[in-house]
Amino acid sequence: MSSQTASPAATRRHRSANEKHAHAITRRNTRNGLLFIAPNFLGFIFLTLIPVIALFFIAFSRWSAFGMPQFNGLTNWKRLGGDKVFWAAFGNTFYYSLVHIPLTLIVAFLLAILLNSKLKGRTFFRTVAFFPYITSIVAAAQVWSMLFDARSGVINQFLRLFTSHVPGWLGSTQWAMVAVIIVATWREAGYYMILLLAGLQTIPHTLYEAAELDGANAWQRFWHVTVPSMRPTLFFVMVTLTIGSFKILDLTLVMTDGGPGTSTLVLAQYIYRVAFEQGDFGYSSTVSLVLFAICMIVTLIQFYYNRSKED
Amino acid sequence: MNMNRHATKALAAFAAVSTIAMLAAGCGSSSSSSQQSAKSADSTNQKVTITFAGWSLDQTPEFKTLADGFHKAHPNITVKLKEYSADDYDKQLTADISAGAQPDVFPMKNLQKYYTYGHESGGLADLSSIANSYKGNKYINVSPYKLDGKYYAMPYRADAWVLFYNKDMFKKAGVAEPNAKWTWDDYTKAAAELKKKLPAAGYDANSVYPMYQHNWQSVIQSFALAQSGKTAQQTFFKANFNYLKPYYKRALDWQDKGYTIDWNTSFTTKVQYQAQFGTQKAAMLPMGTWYAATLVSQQKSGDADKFEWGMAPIPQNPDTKLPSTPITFGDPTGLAVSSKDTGAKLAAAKEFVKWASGEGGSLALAGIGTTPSYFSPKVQSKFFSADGMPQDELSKTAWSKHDTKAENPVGPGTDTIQSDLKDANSAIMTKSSSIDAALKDATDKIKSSGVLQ
Repeated sequence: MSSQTASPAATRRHRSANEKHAHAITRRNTRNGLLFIAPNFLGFIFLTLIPVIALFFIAFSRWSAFGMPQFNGLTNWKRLGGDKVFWAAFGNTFYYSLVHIPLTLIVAFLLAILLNSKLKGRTFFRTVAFFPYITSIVAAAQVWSMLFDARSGVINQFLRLFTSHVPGWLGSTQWAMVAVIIVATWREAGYYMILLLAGLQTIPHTLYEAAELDGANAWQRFWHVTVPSMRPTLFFVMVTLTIGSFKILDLTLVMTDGGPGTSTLVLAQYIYRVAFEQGDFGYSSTVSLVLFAICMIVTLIQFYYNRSKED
Repeated sequence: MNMNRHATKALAAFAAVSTIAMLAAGCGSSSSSSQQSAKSADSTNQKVTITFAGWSLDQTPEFKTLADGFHKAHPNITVKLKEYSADDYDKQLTADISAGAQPDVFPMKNLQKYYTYGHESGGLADLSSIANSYKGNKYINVSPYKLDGKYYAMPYRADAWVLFYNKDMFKKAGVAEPNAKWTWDDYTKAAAELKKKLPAAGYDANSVYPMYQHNWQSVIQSFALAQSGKTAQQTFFKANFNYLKPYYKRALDWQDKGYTIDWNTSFTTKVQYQAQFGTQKAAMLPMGTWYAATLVSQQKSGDADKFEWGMAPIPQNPDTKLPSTPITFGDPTGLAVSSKDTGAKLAAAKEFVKWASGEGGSLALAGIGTTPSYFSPKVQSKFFSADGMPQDELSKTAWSKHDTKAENPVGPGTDTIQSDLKDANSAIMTKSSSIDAALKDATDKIKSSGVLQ
């Protein structure tokens, strides 16, 4: 009797002990997991998340970094509307992005396709194309500044062979941004080329064979096989390229410092200027919120477009 | 990409840990220092230690010189140096003041940020008692630091802009050397003469210029402001920049005639003014007196050629009456005391600032070739006794006698005005825009930013 009843009870006990044990394992795993991500997560919370949340308050305040920010309602936002330097920076940022994004994408894609073909010494050229990305930006900008020198630079000496109306490059408000875009494209195309190359190599060769059997020409194979198969890679490249372009700062800072005049002043540099040179952290936060909103909106559009194409 | 993400994560983790460590360290030191000050307040003769901020300590000997010199004069007070980054000094100091963790004594690197620190931060102690002790003293000028009727800093270095010139080049070309009565028109005339005669004297016509105008905005704008005959309140703070026009006309003219490397080349190829004058590529160079010590040491080390040089008072505005004392510009470098200090610590910090701004500190600084704030005859002879310094009278008067106006007038909006004027400077000097259009644009921008009172 006792043994008969004891047996199920023991099983139950055993089971509950087992469950307890399983719970303990889960708890321990959770705890260890949390501990493992804690260094990064705490860093993220304190160094990124909280400052970003605080930004939404600081943008509506007057703050010189001393004491507490003083809430001032929409004053900063009204100032934004009439601030000529802000609108110049806003326009320059869009000019840079709208030219730089398609240009870099096209150059990177062409390079990737070229270096994916059976070209002699392609490993060498792949490395060479990646060089600019790992070169120190300050050193590269210095060399480019010399190449762009209006009087004695190599570029203008070459152009003088064809025309006497050579551009003033970094010394001219019309051409300075063009020069910056050229250097930016030179610098980043190699990086995106590697990403696109990786994408190209995942496309099964059979797709091309099938398309060829169906009588598709090279352009059709590119447009109907390569591009759709590359959509995930292209999407990733587009998003990072777009955000990177709107955030452009280092290149204009070392090449032109925003000049001549405000012809290459971009939003990120204006944010830096207002905060650290003019000590107006409230207004600077307002401008950063605008930049944040631009990046957000453009990325959301890309997401929706990508999703609609996938469906 | 993956590696990049890992690196970012590792960096974030490291940053978090180091922030916590820094916070912990900050708390520790502040509590111990307040205990110390309470203790030392009990007995006046007890040893006191004060902290003193400086930048690039191994390359900038002035901080250690001041700390050691003061300790020698006041053995019971020890000055402990706290190192900051030279480039990010203002950012780091801003962070420290806003956290209430500023050192006991810290430099005001220039006047541009002084208004913000003195007027808004609340982190600077009132030093009016020291300023009053200098009343009527002709050797020191503390007026740039007057703010709301108080003084929040005292100068310990007062560099002013003078005209450096290469005596050898003038002699070889047979052109009359600068004198104390020069206006900018005389400067132009001498440049024209040098341009003609330097090649005949054996200098390369393509790379040697009569002058070098560096690409900073102050090289044109601050002379114009200082010598305009009007106060900054009448012009600068009203965003009325007409006073800049004749100065820009001359600067463009010098550039067009090839008297100097043009602004754009100087800016985009990052020309070093030290190399330009030091290797005899320019016969004249308007520059701050800090360059004297650099030139002496570079001539010793071989980074600069060996040649005879001198300093002349900066040329004056040809459109106004010649002043009796030459008018130039320069921001003093000052020392401020933490408003958190009390008792013996505050007394020690003030004593240090008083010593550093007075003859004691100035003698110590003059000994290492740094232009100090107190220009007594003793300090002057100490400065010029250094091996390699020029010995002529003109250099000595140029160095010590001048009416120095602020490079950055102290007031609200200085930062914004200077920043928009910097854009105007690059637009004018690259000829992207006419003088009138660029200055009008700057006025509009400043008005639209709402910083004017």
